[in-house]
Amino acid sequence: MAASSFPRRMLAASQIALLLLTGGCWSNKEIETQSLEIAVAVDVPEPAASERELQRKSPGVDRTDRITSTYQLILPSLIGDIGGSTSDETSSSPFKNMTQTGDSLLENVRQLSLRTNAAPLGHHLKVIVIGDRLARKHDLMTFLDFFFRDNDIRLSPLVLICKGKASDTLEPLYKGDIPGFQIPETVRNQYRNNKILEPIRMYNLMSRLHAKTSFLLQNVVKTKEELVYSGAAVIQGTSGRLIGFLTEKDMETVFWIKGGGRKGGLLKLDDPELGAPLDMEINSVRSRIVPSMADGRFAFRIELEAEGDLMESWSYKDAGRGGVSEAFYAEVEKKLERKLKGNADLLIQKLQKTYGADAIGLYESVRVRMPKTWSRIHADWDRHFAEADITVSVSIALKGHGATELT
Amino acid sequence: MNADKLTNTQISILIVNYMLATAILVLPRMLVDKAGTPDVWLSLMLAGVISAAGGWLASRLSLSFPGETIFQYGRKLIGKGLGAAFGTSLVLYFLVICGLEARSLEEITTKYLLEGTPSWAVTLPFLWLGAYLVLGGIQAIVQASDLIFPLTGFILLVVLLLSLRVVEFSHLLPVLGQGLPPVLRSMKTAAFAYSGPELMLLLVAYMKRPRSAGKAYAAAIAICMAFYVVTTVIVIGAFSIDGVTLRTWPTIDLIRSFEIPGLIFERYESLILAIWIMKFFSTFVLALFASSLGISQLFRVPFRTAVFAQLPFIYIVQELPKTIEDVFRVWDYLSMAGAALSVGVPALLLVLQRWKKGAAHGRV
Repeated sequence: MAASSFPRRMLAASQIALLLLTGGCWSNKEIETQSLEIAVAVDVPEPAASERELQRKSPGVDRTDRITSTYQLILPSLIGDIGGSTSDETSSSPFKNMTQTGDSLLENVRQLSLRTNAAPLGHHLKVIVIGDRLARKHDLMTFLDFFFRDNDIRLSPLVLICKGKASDTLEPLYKGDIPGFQIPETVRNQYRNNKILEPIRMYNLMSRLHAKTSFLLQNVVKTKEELVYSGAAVIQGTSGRLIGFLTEKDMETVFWIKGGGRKGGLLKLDDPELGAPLDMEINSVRSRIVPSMADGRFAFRIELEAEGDLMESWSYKDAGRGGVSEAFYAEVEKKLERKLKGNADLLIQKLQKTYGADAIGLYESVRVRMPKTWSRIHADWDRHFAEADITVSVSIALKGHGATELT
Repeated sequence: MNADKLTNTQISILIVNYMLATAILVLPRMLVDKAGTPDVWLSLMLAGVISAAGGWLASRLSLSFPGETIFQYGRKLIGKGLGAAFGTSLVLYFLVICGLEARSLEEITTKYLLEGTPSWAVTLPFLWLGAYLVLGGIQAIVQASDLIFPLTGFILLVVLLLSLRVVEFSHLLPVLGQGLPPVLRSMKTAAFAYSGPELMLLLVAYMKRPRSAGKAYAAAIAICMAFYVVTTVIVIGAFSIDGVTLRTWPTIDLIRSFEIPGLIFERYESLILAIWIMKFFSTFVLALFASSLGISQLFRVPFRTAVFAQLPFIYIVQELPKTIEDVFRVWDYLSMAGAALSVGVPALLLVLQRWKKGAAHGRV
């Protein structure tokens, strides 16, 4: 027994040694040789200056340009340099943008490997910005296909539309900016401003596109000094393409109709009689959508209910300026209601008449409450929506008035 | 022999580990594909009840032959030829399960975890380690299983809770909007998730208290059902029935749909996959144990030989399906075969055995 235990132990020891010494990662890659793809912007084809120069010097690339994509790549090899007191311009930003034009996104990203040694890694993609012209031209499902198939790119990236050139959004505004990280962060401000849409990420974009119902995608606009979340793009369900935009004012109304108890934002009153402005901060919104059908025509009753506080008033009739009454509040409530109803009617008219697309999801109520009908008509929903009879009723209650006392 | 006997809890855990592996990663898609409505969680519940009944039947049958497995008592019940034929088909069934389980592991690992690593380098250690554990006998398997179950269960639960942030429960409405037919349509697919009764044909022989085998099995089904239903509800809640049918591995994609900044990891799919390999392993090991036991008892071959002789065949089965779709197709057939082998045949055998007993009594 004891005699056999020594060779056995040696054997065991050698096994462990083997495990420790020869073990390793099969396909390991040094982080310095990689670059992390954090943002992608896709646009209608428009070869960059350097690409045109390449065409001149070395012609003969086999392609009919369909799409231009811009990649924001974080270069881990540069990050180390930032802390130091370098005056070098390039090392102050740890990323670079690379633009490539080609037939497909896979081709584009692989083409990058001819231009840089750092291979882009897709795991950390945070945001995909789509230029409005591309979205008008193609079904979103076509050029996003690659992202859905790729096994590195996750389903978590935020998807935005950019009215204008999407690649512009990836240009840093100030030294040290990393747009790929900052753009998707702004979505979190939802709790402060109701003009930001519920974020659409790859996972729910996929479902919506496949369901072939219309929806809204957050729009961003790049000005010289800023990148602003502004309005939304209307994506038509049947074609999967962008067919128009909603304004910021419309977005407020969308927020009301979608309801869901979300906090955030305000309702503004600009009334010559009362003096202006008068702002209600919204504390809670409830929306009830009741569908019905008669003779093949749909009708919706949208009931909006909200509570809020009067948080800013320039009115000479308000507290602090003497002479305030319950009646004043009642009047403000009534005027707010009227204003909101007006906005809602405008939005609905725009969606029904101009776009003919149910981008605010009224179909959800039909899908849930009339499943049999829905399965019969869902392919043709936008047409039914355009002909539907939609009435909006609003009830607003001002519950508070901030720290200013009523006197 | 008595030291080898297993408690009820151990049997339950063994069965949970056996059932809860690949199915949970693909179930939501397969079910919704068939049903076309979000009500598939109902079919999962119904199928669970049916599987529990099947397990109970199989246990009843095994009870009549204490300490013997189906491979041993089969011939007593239906004669040498038929008994061997049934035993062999069970062995083949388990062998194909081994192959498919190894293939699923290969597919997921080379796609999401170790891209670039050759598939043989992923699967060979898996097969060899499995064989090694099986050689240790049922006790070794049970001990490994006892370790694997709480770890995998806990982590899956945590990750499912984290993924609630991408869930919209309205995607699960309407309930029964198209009535019951879609639920029944997807029942067959749901059965795939509960292949387990066949194990009771041989595991009861190892139980300390074989009388409560049915109860142990029902407990295992209840645990699996809870995991299945919660996972399916969450996956459909995230993707809606329109999205879920577009993904090969919807449950992995669920975890790939969110990032959580500032909580140890930002991305959880690698963690859950690395952990879930243990589940693949438990299923593989138990199936390999079952088929080896069958071969050694049917053909009187040493257990060791049976284990090693099968490995090449398992590898061939594993590599036979060309695409992942083929894998799922084979799995579909297999789950039907499993239902027949584990519920249909035992039911017949049970009737036969009762009838024989009755006839014997009548004569005496």
